[in-house]
Amino acid sequence: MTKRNRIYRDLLILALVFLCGWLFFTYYPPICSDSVIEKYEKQENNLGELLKNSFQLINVNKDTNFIAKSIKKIFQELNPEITETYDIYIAEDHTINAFALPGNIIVINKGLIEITENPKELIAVVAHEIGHIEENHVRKKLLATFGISVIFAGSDAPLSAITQILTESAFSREMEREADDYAVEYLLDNDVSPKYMKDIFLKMKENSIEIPEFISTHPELDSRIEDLSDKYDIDNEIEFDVDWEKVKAEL
Amino acid sequence: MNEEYYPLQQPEDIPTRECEDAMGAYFMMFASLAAGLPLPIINLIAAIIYYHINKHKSRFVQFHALQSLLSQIPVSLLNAAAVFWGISIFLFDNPFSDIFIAFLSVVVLANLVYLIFSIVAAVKSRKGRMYYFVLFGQLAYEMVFKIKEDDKEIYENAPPY
Repeated sequence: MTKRNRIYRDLLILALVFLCGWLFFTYYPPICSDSVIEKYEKQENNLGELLKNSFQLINVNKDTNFIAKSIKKIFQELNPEITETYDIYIAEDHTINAFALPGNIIVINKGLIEITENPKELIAVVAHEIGHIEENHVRKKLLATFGISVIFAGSDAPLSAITQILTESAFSREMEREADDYAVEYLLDNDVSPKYMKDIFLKMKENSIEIPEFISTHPELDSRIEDLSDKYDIDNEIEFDVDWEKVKAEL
Repeated sequence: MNEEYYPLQQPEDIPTRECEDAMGAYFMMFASLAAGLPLPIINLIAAIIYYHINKHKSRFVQFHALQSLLSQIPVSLLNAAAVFWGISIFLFDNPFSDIFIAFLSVVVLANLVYLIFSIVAAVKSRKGRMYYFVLFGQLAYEMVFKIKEDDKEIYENAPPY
């Protein structure tokens, strides 16, 4: 056998060994991908719980005060799956903000509820945050900023830094648009007009004159408002039997 | 004596310094650890730099540096593929599947095998011995020890007139 043929033979053997090994482990994996995903999601939920503890929160699902019960009633009437799938909290913070945390947690500041005129605007905000969760934006943001170690125990990033990234820094423009699109579909599926999303965005923008940093954390607000045109007309739009002004007064 | 290849030096004829230089070639795989970055390309760059610095020393050192470099290439490529595939899963919503786990398993095994053989080669080279990896040993030997046509020409300086 010539030297060249010997080299080709060795190359072929190495390639075959690699492919056979890959095939073998595909059918007999050392770890099942489902168990890895399950462990990862559990760690993510643990992180969400840890982060949540840094806020003073009203649990919409569990607390029995008037605010929690009223808002829970709204979501139950809209779609009972919301309260089953997501943990919604009201934060004792009067800045205009809402954010999502790992583990399907949505936090809405009292400040944001204060500027709403009806519960559908709150629903629009929640739908937007659900969009961030369902499109995995929260996870991607955390991983891109801190790396995979943030999800598992022993992360070097302090909780305060993680909280700041998730609550104050913006998602990318593409992610915000994806969340907007998801929210529009979600609202339409639940018989709520997306015009309420436009309304709350306009209010946020008006209030941002007093809170200028809001603009920097929500890019392209003007164009996003423009995209939410008034063309969405809903037949049989859902109505809620809740005294919203009383809810706001209780905040 | 084979007229196609340069003769091999024997262990007793190779200076200790050259043995140590040959051994050092097999430690370039740890370059990315030293740099603190999980980038497989760093190992390859370190191996390339080491080869270029040491190739003029002796054919023994050149052979081991080249063997280390050539064998580092597929390992680096596999590691890079694993890193980019992992990033695509976490950041671009590619599915986390058994195929990826299988690929990772093979890559881990390949790195382990490479590590073991590199350690063996490092020990052998420190003793002044030739040690041949599958495929890459033969390639490195051909590239270093084969007498090229250009080398056979004997150039004679001549006066201008």
